Amino acid sequence: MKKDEMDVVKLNDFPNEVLAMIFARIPFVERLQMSRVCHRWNHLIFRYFGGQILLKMDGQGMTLSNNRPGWLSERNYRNISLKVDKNHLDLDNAFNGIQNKLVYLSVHIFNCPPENVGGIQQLLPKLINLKILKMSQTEEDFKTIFTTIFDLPTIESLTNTFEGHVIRSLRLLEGLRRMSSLKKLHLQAASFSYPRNFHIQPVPQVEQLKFRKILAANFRKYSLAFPNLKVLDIFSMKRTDELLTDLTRAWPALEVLTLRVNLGFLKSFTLEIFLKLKKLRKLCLLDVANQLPEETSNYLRSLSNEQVML
Amino acid sequence: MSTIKLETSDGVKFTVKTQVAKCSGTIRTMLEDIGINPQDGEAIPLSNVHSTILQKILVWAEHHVDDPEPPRDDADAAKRTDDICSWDEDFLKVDQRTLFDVMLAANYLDMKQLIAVCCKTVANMIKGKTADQIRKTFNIENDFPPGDEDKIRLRNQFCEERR
Repeated sequence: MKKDEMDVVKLNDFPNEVLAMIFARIPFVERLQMSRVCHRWNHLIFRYFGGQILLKMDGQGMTLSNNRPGWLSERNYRNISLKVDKNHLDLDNAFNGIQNKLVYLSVHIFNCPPENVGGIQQLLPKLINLKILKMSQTEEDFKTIFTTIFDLPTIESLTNTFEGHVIRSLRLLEGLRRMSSLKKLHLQAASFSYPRNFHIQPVPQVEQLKFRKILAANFRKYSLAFPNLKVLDIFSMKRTDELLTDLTRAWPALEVLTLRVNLGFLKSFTLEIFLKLKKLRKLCLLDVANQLPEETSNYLRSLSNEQVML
Repeated sequence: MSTIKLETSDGVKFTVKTQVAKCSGTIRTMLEDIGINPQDGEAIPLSNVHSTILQKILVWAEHHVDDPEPPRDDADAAKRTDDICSWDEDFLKVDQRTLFDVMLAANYLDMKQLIAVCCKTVANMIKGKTADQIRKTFNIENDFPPGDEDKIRLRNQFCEERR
């Protein structure tokens, strides 16, 4: 039987899954450009790899109202990074059609008029499937917007970066406990303070905490606020064994610990302290200069690989 | 050594070692789950595969019959395209029509390793090409309304990999 031209198999005759297997083997940037080939490829690249694609938007580079991301309906953007500045934003229009598809939103509020902050406040509750929220703003703007953020029930991971070099009071975090799905919290500022005679209401749902930076590390207080941590990542610490003992007492069930410390600190404590963390399966000691004293690295290597990774 | 018979879409019958035939998940399922008994001497019909392609696929299966099971969910291995062994490379040095016929049959026969190596080969054909060159190479129609492709290119400039 001789096959005629009609029988010739073309690349686009293959099922979606096979095309996706081919596309998976092509580097990100090239794969993105392949969305220009035809409707189907454009659709498939977003259907199978949309989780990796982040759309950057701001009021200036793209006129949001004329060029909204929902345009070309097969492009299901799931991740958006949004810069909010003095330019006019029509967020309602821009997010129309993808409000329930967004999983990840990163918002950088910078030098903008109150109505633009208000626009974000109105947008956030409409993103009903949002899981990851990254905010970066001044303390003033945070004070405007934080009740809106704390009332988002679907957020699993919250990152908040405070601009500037002022010490942030953890009083700002009152209300965090309302975020019932919150598992990961990442706070970044020049430094934080924990006011005297003050306790954050416990946020038992948080399992992962990343702090840049802690000024006064009173771990007992933090453990009252975040009693169920499994993963802790902290930056600078004071240089005493005592402090580390506090840490192991505060969270004896820690599974992953990352300490970003300086060389002087590494010389001043005994690593056996970490053996008190019975569930610890990963330990990262990151030195500012990315160098460990030889005896420390040797010791870490001598521990079982199961428990400690360097 | 046990053998089974396979019958292709054009009515050609092949006698194949059972072990080789079992490189195909589809045939394996027919034998093991559905309980087709090859001892009956009845040929298993492969109505979607032409004899010229089955012949080629059997050569591949014969060569790879003793390969160890690949590790499952190996994300890195799935992304590489430079790890095609030289035998497979030679095996797939065929025209595009034959490559796609083999790939389609491998998909129908559920031969994961063969599909993977075909996908790698096609990925290597795509890499480094512009959208236009890809359309030419694979005879794909640009079905965007006029102007949309430019809009997509513009929009892509605002996309990056999420970290």
